[in-house]
Amino acid sequence: MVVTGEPSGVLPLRRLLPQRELGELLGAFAPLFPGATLRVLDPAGVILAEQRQERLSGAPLNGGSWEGPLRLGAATVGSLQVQAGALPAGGEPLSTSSSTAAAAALTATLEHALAGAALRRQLAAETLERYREVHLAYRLGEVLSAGLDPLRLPQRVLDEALRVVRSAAALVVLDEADGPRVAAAVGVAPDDVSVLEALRAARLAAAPGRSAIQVAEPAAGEFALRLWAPLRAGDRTFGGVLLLRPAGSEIFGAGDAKLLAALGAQAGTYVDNARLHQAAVEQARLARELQLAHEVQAQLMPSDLPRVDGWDVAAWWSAAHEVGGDFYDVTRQGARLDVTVADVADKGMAAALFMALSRSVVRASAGEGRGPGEVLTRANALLCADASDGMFVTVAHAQLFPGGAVRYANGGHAPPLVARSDGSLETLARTGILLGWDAAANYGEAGLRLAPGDTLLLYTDGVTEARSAAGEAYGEARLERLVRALVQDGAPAGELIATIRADVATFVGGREPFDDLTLLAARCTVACNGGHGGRSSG
Amino acid sequence: MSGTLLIVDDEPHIRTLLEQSLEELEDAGVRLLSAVDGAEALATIRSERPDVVFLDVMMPRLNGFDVCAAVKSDPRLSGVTVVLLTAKGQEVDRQRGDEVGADLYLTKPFDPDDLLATAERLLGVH
Repeated sequence: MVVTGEPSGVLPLRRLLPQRELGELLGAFAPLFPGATLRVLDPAGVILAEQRQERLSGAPLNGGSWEGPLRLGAATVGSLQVQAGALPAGGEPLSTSSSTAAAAALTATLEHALAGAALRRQLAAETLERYREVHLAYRLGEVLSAGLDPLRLPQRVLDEALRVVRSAAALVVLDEADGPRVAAAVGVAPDDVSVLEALRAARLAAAPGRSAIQVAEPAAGEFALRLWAPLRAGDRTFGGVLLLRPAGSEIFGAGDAKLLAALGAQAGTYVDNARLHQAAVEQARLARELQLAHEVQAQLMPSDLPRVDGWDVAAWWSAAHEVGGDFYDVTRQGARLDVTVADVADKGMAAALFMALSRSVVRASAGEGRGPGEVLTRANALLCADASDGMFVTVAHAQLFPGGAVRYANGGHAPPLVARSDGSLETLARTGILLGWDAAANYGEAGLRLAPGDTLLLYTDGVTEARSAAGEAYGEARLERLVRALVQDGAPAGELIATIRADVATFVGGREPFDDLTLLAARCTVACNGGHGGRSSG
Repeated sequence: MSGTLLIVDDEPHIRTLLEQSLEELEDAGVRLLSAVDGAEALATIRSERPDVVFLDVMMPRLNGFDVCAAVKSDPRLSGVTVVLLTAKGQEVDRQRGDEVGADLYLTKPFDPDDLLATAERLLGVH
């Protein structure tokens, strides 16, 4: 703790010894001063106690008076006055050695009583500080446990701090991940640059986890007198309370620092608990949102795939914990089957909602007379009109015709694979950018023809980017090798997907997938005249 | 003169604490008196007619409730405000205090700042 310039004041005598006590002391000595009046005066000459002794016996003191200082340590706090009455004939003068000795004894007794009283006061002052601390603890317990709202708690802490140590301005600071944040302020604007500077300086002056009193140059800003106490939970400091007074006002004392430190230690636990509680609530909220997002996503996946002659279609989707926003769709347009695999470039509820929107938009854009390029062009325009900023989706969309003809468009998606039964393999390149980026984007399309046994595989990058325990990605090459072998072996669509799933699962070794995984396989089962369709661009 | 305040507590240390907490009232012209038990308190109240009495409950001879009851049943003392100093958590004290007409309660351990603020408020001193 840094303490500077503790002012020292000498207590007035009337505070040290009440009139009653002074009167009793003077009364006890009065018989030694027959016929005289004893007075205790304060430095201004005000009479604090007076005792007059009638002459009962013996010789009265003669006229005149005697006065001597009353000291407490080095300070003179008042005086003792002995005033003699009129001197009758034969009276003893006041200046005799016996009466001066009596006056000296009275002075010593008074000073002894003053010293005792000063000590009692000091002890009482310390006890009162304890009282303040005890009461502060009681109050804080009551006030802070009344509500754990982390937004209101700092203001409560500030109110209590100002109750125990009066100040012109005050603030509560909480250390956040991105730096200190003023959580409550009284008497100053929370973003006042000079206050923030005072805060920085006061924290610098404090030893870690300790309170500090700082007296800055008056030029250092409006509030030159500062008292800082950390907010702590256990050994952890995560903010603090700063009290401010303008230059020239009473300097914060050690007792103030002690009280504020006690407040910081106790309130810290509450603030910390409130923050933990809020984090737990937030986590629960996120978990609920995630659960909802999962439900939204799962409900949008087709439960039964429509069938057309000549095609064997199977699909599989697995949601990541965070919900990646993958979807697949299979719809029938007359004798044609439209297949879509898409991947929203976000996670969580936002991704799930955008995925729902994307699926509807692609469905609405598809029609019997439209090619896949036109479908994506229309869907993109609709998404750009509807989508909030920063939401994009990659889409692979293919139209499967009876007899093995395929038309496809690829909006920024992982290139689908076409594995031939003869062991060859092709990838279907992108015909445009991801959807949701550029409202004016146009999407091209291309065509090819599959022979019986040839298989088209649409997938999302969650498959190829699945990681092993060693951090290695599953990769396109591994997927292509497996698909090539399976198709060459004549594996039906369902088996192809099941085998890829199992292989990816083995590869990641039971680890939670980071992204959604989606696979859709379409195997041509009936040939049309003309065998393999050649690739053509459109 | 801004009124008279009487402190009543049989425990000398507590009395010192009360006096010391309130002594700055003297700067505003308030007369501070003290009494060491219930009997002396009642005598002082009758002779000095204080505006406010801070009255401990547990005292020998005459306890705080008895003193309060005596004050509140005496029409000549209708101007005396009685603040009972009760122990923390002793709700039964408050019931009893209400029965004998106490005006206000402060709990022990008292907050010195609260004590002073209460006295200032009751005496109209700022």
